[in-house]
Amino acid sequence: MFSSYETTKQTVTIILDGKPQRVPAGVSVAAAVLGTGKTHTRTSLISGEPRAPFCMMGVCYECLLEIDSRKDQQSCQVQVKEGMIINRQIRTNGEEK
Amino acid sequence: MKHADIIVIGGGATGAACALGLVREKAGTVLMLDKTFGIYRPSRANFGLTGYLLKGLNDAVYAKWAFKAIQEWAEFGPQLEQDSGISLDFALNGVGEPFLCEEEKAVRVQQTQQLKEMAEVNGYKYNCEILDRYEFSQLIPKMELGEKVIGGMFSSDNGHVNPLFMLRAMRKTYINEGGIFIAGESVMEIIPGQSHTIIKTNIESYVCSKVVVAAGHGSTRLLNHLGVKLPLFPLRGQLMVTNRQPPMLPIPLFLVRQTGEGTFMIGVSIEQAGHDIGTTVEAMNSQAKKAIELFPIMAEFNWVRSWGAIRVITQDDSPVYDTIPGHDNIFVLVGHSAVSLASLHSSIIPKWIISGRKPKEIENLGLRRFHV
Repeated sequence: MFSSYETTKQTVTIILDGKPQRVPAGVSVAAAVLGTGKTHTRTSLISGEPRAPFCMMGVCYECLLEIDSRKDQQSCQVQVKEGMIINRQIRTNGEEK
Repeated sequence: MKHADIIVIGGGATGAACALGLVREKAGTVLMLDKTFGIYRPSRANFGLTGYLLKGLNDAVYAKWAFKAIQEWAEFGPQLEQDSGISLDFALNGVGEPFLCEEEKAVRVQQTQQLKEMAEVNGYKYNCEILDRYEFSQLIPKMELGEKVIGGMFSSDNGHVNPLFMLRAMRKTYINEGGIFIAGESVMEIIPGQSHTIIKTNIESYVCSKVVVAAGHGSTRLLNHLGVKLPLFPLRGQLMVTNRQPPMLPIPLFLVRQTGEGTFMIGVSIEQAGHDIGTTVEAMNSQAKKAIELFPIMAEFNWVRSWGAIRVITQDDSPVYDTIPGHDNIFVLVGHSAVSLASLHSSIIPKWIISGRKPKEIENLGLRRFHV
C-alpha cells in the first residue's frame, strides 16, 4: 500500500507485534508501521472499527500505538529508534489481543 | 433593509433552542444571527450534563424550572435526534456525586434535604438518594473507587448529552424547518421603534416585529444601549479530556464523565478570571488529583486536551427571562445551564415570545428581582 519514494540507506530494526522489521531510520513510528504494509494500527475502543494514521501531524489521534510498553502514544510524533518495541492496539470484543 | 418577523440574536445553546421552538410553532420568518468568531462560545465548551441536581438552592422558582426542564428532556432529546438525524449520545440514566469526606457529605445531605422540602411545597418530587460506599460502588461496577470515597448521592433521572451534537442538531433542525441562520454578522445596535425594531449588524440592517436577545455575555453591551443593566458576570471553568477508554463509567458525575466516544471529561473548577478563557496549571493539577482520588485508575490515562470556558452567570445563578422596560417586543434570555434548560427554551419560552403572555412559572425569573 505504501512505499517510500526514495531508498533510505540507513535503517533501524523495530519489533512490531513481536516480529523484527527493518524500517528506514529517521521516519516516524506511524510512517514506519504503514511502510511495513499494515493497513490499520488499532481498533476503535467503542465500535471495534479498524483505524489507521490519518493526519500524520499530531492532531487526529488516529495513530495511537503502544510504544515501549506505553499505550496510546501518538505514533506520528515519535521517531523510530533501534530496538523499539511497538504493538498495534487491536482489540476484539473489548479485550486487547 | 431586510425583513423578518422575529430576530434571535445569538446562535448558541439558548438562542438556537429558542429559534428552533419558534419555527416549530410557525412563528413566521425567523432569523437567527450569530457573530461566530471573536466571542467566548461557552455553548461549545461545556461539560454536557442535563440535570437539576443541586440547582435552585436559593431559588424555589428556578429549582422547579430546572426540574421541569429535565422531565421535558425525556421527549425533547429523542425528538431532536429524530428530526435532525444526529445521535446526541443522550441518556437520562442518572447523575452521581461522590463524597470524599464527612464534611462534604454533611453539606450535600443538608442541601438535598432542603431541595426535597422545597419540592414538596411546590408539588413535585426532588429525586436524590444518599448512598454509602458500597451502594455507590454498585453504580460503577467497572471502576474501583479510591479509598477516600465514603459514599455519594445519586439522582436516577438526571443525565448527560454531547453538547456539541446538541447545538448542531438544534441548528440543523431549525434550518430544515424553515429558519434562517446568518453566521458571522455582529449585531452593533438594537434600535426600538413604535411597532418595529431595527437591528444593525456590521454588514446589514434588519427590521422585525420581535427581538430575542440570547447573546450570552454579548447581551450586556446590546442592552446597555437600551438603558438596561444586566447582572451578568463571567465565571471561568476549566475542562480536561483524556484519551479514549473502553466504556467503564456508565453514569456521569459532577467531576468526571465518560463520553460516547470513550474520552473522560474532567471539570469542576470555578474561578473569577474576568474574560480570560485560558487554562492554568493549578486548576489542571487540582482537578486531576481529585479525579485520581476518586478513581485511582485514572492516573494511567493520558491527558490530551484542555480548555477554559466562561460561564454566563447571573448574580443569583438563576436565569433571566424578561422583556425590556417600555419595549414588550424585546425579549431577553440569558443565564447558565443552557444545555439542561434547552428543552424549555425550545417549548415554553417560544410560546411566551409568540403570545406575549409570560407564564406564571417564570414570572419571578425576570430583571426586577435585581432591583429591589
